[in-house]
Amino acid sequence: MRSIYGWILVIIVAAAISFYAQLFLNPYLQQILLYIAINVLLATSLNLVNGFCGQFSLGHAGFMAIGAYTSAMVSLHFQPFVGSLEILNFPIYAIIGGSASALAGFFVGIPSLRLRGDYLAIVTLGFGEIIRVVLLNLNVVGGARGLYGLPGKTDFLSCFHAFFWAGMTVLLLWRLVHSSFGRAFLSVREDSIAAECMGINTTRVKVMAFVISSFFAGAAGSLFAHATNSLNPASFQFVKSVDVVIMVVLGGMGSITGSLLGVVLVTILPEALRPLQNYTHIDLRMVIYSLVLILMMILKPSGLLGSREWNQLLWWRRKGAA
Amino acid sequence: MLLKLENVSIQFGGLKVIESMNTSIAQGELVGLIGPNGAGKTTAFNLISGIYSPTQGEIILEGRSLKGLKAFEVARQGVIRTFQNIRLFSTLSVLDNILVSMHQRCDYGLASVFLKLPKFFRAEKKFQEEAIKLLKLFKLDHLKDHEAGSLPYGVQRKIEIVRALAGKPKLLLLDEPAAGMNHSETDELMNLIERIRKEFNLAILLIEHDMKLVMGISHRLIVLDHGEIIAQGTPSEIQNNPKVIEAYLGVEETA
Ligand SMILES: Nc1ncnc2c1ncn2[C@@H]1O[C@H](COP(=O)(O)OP(=O)(O)OP(=O)(O)O)[C@@H](O)[C@H]1O
Ligand SMILES: [Mg+2]
Repeated sequence: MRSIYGWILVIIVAAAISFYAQLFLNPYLQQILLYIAINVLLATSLNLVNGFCGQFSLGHAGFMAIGAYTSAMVSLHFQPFVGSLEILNFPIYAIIGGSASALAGFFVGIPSLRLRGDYLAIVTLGFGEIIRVVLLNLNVVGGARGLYGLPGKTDFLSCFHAFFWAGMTVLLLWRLVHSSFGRAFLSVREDSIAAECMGINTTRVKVMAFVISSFFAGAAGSLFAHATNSLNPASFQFVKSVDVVIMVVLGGMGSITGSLLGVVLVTILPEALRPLQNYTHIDLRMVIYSLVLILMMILKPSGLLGSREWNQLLWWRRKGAA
Repeated sequence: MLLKLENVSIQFGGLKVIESMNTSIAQGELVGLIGPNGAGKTTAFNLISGIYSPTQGEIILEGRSLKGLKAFEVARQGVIRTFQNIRLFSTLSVLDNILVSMHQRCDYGLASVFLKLPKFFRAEKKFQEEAIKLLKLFKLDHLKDHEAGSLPYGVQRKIEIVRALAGKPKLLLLDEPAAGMNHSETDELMNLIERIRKEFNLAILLIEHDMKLVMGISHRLIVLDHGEIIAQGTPSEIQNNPKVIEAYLGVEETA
């Protein structure tokens, strides 16, 4: 029964945000809100690999692209639900996109995760670029022009769908890292030789985290495809992967709630600084953005929450633990 | 025999660190592994625990060769070790450190985790109770929520032993468990080691520099020098072995 509470919370939060967006926000802000939902999937799932397992993946945009394009292609040819039930197509697309990406994660992860951590960074970086270049040159997916006219709306149900995914991702990853698997992930990060000597199959554990992470990146790609109704390889450049890394590092490696904070800051900050640009007529956004990051790395290199979750920061909890 | 080493050798580049080691350990036996610095004791542990594979020879556990097995597989076969330079999962809590060793016995899958099925709660409860029971044995249960890396050296060494025990070893390899402890702490630890050996019917291979201590506790001793076993036998046999006196005790006398 305890299992149900998490889901109820996810539904309530997703519904509340969607109602709020429909009633009070203009289309521009609604769009930003959708990006927040998508980035929640990306950042929390990347944190699983980079933060909890201590591996360094730099290819999240690539996995997102696989999910996005798979989902888009499927949606153009396969619409099982029509009319008022149309919304039910989208979870199917997201699951298909996520699965395609998970499969890719499996094949990228197996060879690269057997080796040392830094090897993964290079392989995933290359992987992300290869995916983008392939998409750029693949005519069936529109090449550089990309894909247009993808199904997807910005109504209440679509917003709810996106935030349901965001909530579900947080819920599932939260449960995962608070299980024996989560402890296995952390042991690999802390000392993989000791972990191995305690019976942890470190390769298997890392591949598992990587595949799960890729699944949610793919699902995020699907949400993105149907939120923007079009796709273009330019959306999945290396900087996109870096953006996600920044969210994770800013919030705190190994902290899911930290990642949520990172997502909100990184998504909103550039937008919030837009008026400044209109006023000064120079693009100060990136300057300020970079400054914030540099300051952060100097003042608190472990990220805003470190590897703690927000509930461990509350003073009464701390007292209890001491 | 629980463990048998047959002509086990290893070399790094041209350097022979262990040279045709032949020995065996019976179930429930406490064997001391001694020898001067750089003799190859830790390397022998790395070989037995599967971190290195021997360039020659074979390691046999309960009649089955461990050849080609990775370290995690060796651990799952029941050979679990501690480390000379402590290797705890230092930012994890003491309890989580112990629970990591139980992951190999985790019988729930991802579905049970994601849906929080009863199986998940049952296994977690069982693991936690077991871990606390082990911690109590070492009087460490009050520290279970502390970050492992923040605790004193001696405590961390004990936690490493508990973590190893949590993996249900048949053979426990202890690499200088008393290093950095004072006299009374060491005595207490040795009593505990003897107690857990009896209670869990373990075989223990113990590396220890303090001769008096290791002679007192071991059933049998293996003496390594320059990667070769120069003597093995009961403590009294070893004590009077001229080779040992020359290689090891002699060094200590002049020191
Ligand atoms: N991976 C390696 N590569 C090269 N040489 C090594 C390696 N591992 C160990 N050695 C060498 O093997 C020898 C034995 O080292 P080992 O750590 O096993 O000694 P020890 O008996 O445990 O010593 P101590 O009492 O100081 O812990 C040393 O000379 C060491 O330099
Ligand atoms: Mg040593």
